[in-house]
Amino acid sequence: MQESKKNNEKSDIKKNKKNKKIINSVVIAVDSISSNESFVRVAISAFIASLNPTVDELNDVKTAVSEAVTNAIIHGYEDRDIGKIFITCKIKNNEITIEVRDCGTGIDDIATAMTPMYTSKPDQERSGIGFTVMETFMDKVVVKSQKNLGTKIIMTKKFFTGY
Amino acid sequence: MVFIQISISQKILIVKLENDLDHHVANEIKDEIDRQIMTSKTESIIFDFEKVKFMDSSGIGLISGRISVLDAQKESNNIIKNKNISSSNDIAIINLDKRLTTMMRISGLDKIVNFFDDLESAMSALRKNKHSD
Repeated sequence: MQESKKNNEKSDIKKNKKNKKIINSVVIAVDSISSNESFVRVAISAFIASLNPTVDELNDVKTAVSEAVTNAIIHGYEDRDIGKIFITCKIKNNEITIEVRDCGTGIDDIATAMTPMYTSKPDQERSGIGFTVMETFMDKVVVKSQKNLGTKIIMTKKFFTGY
Repeated sequence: MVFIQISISQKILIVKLENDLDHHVANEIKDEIDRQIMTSKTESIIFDFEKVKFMDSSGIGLISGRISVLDAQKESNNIIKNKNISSSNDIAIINLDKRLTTMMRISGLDKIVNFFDDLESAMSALRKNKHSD
């Protein structure tokens, strides 16, 4: 009797462990200053380190985050106004969702903005591949924008190897 | 903070990039590179990525921007007779890892500039370029 109870407990713990969901999130708010690009990259990679991503997976995320934050600074706030950039990172099991939001000028035409090689600022030596890079290194990229209210980029990625 | 090491050999500017190459860093180092291009009568540039730990698309902008500066410089020195010939042929990139190669491919930069495994092969290719001009 006692023995079987013990066994049940054991299997319960095992079951819980198996079904245990990893849910965690962080919100970072920074001024739109270019030196914060590296801070956000490092902060996000530290936050997702608990998922044991591979070096490649970690670099994928860092690159995509860097592109999104840079866009917020040079396009959202047009490289002159200092505004806030909000970065939210959510972990749900082996999937992360990163949202980068600014309250800047917004994008007129999202499809054009996302076209590879298109840049609205050729004079600033922008290559126009920011969105392409995000799409290459993340699983999914969604862009929402409203004129004069701001832009929100939502990116998701699943980790496999380390998880 | 030191981001780059620049040296010049036979009108070839060698730029050794370091650590993280993002929008912030690119803005800081491009003026320094341009100053060297102007003062040293540079004809070709080698970008060495060996010590680069991270790069986003700002690195692409940095390289393509320098092609334009080199073009403008040659035009003002009357080195270019045919305006349709771009300086991209005078840019060499060395020590790219897999990730950086992907970035170059996405940007299309791989089609206009030359990649080499090491400094020696880049130097000799750029010198050969000059002699055949």
